[in-house]
Amino acid sequence: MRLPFNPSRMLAVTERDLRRFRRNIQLVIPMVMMPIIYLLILGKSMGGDLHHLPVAIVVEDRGAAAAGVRRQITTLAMARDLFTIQDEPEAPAAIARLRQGQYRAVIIVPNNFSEDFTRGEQAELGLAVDNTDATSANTIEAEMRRAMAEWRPAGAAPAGAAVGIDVQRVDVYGHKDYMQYLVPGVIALSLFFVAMVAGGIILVDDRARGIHEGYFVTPLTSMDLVGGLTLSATTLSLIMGTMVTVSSILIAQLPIIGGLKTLLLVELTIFLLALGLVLFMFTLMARVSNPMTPRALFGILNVITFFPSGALYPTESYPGWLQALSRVNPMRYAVHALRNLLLKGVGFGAVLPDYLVLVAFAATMLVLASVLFKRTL
Amino acid sequence: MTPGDKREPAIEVEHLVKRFGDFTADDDLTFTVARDEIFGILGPNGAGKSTLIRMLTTLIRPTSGHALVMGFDVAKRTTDVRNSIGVIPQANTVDSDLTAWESLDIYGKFYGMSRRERRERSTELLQAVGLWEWKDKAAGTYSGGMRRRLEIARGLIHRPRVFFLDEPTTGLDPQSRRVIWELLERLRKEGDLTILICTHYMDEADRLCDRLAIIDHGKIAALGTPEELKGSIPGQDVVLVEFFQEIAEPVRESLRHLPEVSDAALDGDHRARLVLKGDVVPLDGILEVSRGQGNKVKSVSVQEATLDDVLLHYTGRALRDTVSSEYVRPLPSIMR
Repeated sequence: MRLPFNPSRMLAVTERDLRRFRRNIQLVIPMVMMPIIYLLILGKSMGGDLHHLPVAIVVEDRGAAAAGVRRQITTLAMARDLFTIQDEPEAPAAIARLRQGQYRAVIIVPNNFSEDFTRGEQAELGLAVDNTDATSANTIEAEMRRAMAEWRPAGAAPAGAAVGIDVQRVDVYGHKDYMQYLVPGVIALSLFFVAMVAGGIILVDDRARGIHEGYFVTPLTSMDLVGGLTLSATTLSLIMGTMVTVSSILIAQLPIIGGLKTLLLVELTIFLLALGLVLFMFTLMARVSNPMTPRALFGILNVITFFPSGALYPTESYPGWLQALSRVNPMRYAVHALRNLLLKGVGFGAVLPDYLVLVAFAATMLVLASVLFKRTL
Repeated sequence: MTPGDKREPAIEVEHLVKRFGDFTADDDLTFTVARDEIFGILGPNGAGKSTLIRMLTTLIRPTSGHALVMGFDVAKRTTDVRNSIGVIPQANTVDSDLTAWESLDIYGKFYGMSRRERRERSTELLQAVGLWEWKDKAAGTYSGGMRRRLEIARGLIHRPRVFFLDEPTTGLDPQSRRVIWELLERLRKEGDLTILICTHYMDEADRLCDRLAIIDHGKIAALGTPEELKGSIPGQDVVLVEFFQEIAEPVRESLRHLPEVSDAALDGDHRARLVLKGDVVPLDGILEVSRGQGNKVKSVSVQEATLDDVLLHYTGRALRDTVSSEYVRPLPSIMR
């Protein structure tokens, strides 16, 4: 009987593949590292405990009970590491800063607080939370309720006296669901994909196909090449990023609070992040000639840029090393800016610090890419 | 001599060396190529031909020695060199996603040509290489020969003074090769263009080149016109004499004693192979032998030395199996 296959022929095919793989053994590293990195980054960038959430406190009341509550909150901040407390003199100013993304919550001790408490009534604390970040808001609220239930003033409290918490969620931005929360991250992710394909895969493929060799015998300079390639990849990013932005706004039914001005600032953010990511890819791929390399690195780069960006879960929950990684990650600043623009409708001033980081990142990568890019074979 | 001087050679190479680690790809090359000459670099695979062309076209830097192209040093005056040269690399560098017209237009922009210049030159070149009808089709749909012709047009877009072709017809069918040869011959006739061509095809070198350098192990083994090279190898011309009837030792003996013949051997039952002392074919002597033996001559054919013999003589073999510089440093030709 004749077998439909010949084992030695079949093994020869296997051998050929394994030999080819052995020639490209460096590709094993990213493949093995990828799941490990996934676990580390994904595990630590979602569902962790929150730390150092910036919270403002406005004490309008001068009474003893108010001072006691203020102390309790300070103790809580020091003990649990959950908040960093900042005093604000005026509630409206504090709320405005909350809207700009500077605080995650504002605690207000109203001026009748001590009086109500001393009378043996339920005294209400005001808590305004940033509703665009439901995770932080819920954590802060739960923590405040627990702390106030435990609190007893130093002297004897009148019977029936208690501290209630009046949470003002809706007043700040209106309800945002998790899907809307994810929109900024999805836009940033799409820019990563375009940069990876246009700045990484296509670049290395063209190099392998001799397209660059054709360029090198012409008077084109290194800057012509780096600049020209950056521009094309950034243009593609801008087009794709805009398409993803429009579709995700429609899908998540996100109202554009700031109107046209917000949309223009969103485009500017997309441009700055795209520029940084494209140049980052050029830097990484400056000397790569194996077309498999960018494909193998795709997953790792995706995990280390997207997950620690705060796109899925607040960056305040990350452990120190992940915080450090996230601080040099341009996507974090773009996600922060996009979230403030799309969910809160903030103006240029509120996103300027993010823009400065994005510009600095792109400039650094431009220098590195230009230095590393070789104009000869 | 100043750059651009009409009398100076198009290419001057002096003691040029290129090493990749321990491997010496080109070892102390010295030669000049005159203006408007077609100069061939001939040699087995791995002899150092491509490395030489890559140095002359500014793609890699020489380890030592120097080379001038149109009077410009290839290591120092790269922009001037690049503006003076057109290059057809060994790898297929045609952009498959672009049409022929787009490719030429984009390359024209690389050289700072005006829109009008680009349009005129592209039209002229695409007609010359026979791609005019296909100019709006993506190059990915072209045959191998068409791609090569597109590369030739692209390499000439800016009217270069020196044109480098690295194995321009390797992998092409015979008809496409002929079309490319005719194209290069037409370019030579038009003048004002020096062509340096690397090849391992003897017929190509013999047909096109005014002068040839045979390179082996990174050194120049021989240099001269094809005729000079063929004349330079011992053995000279060989004459085959075919008889109607079988021949044997007496015939060979008689032929060998002819004054113009240095040696004679039987080549089959009917044929004798004569090695001549000079280039005079002893027809009278052959006929005398034929009459004396009563065996009529069917044919006399002269076998001249070919460049194959020349290459074989100077390099020991026509093809070499060895690890070449290309293997040491992977070069962009993987995804052709």
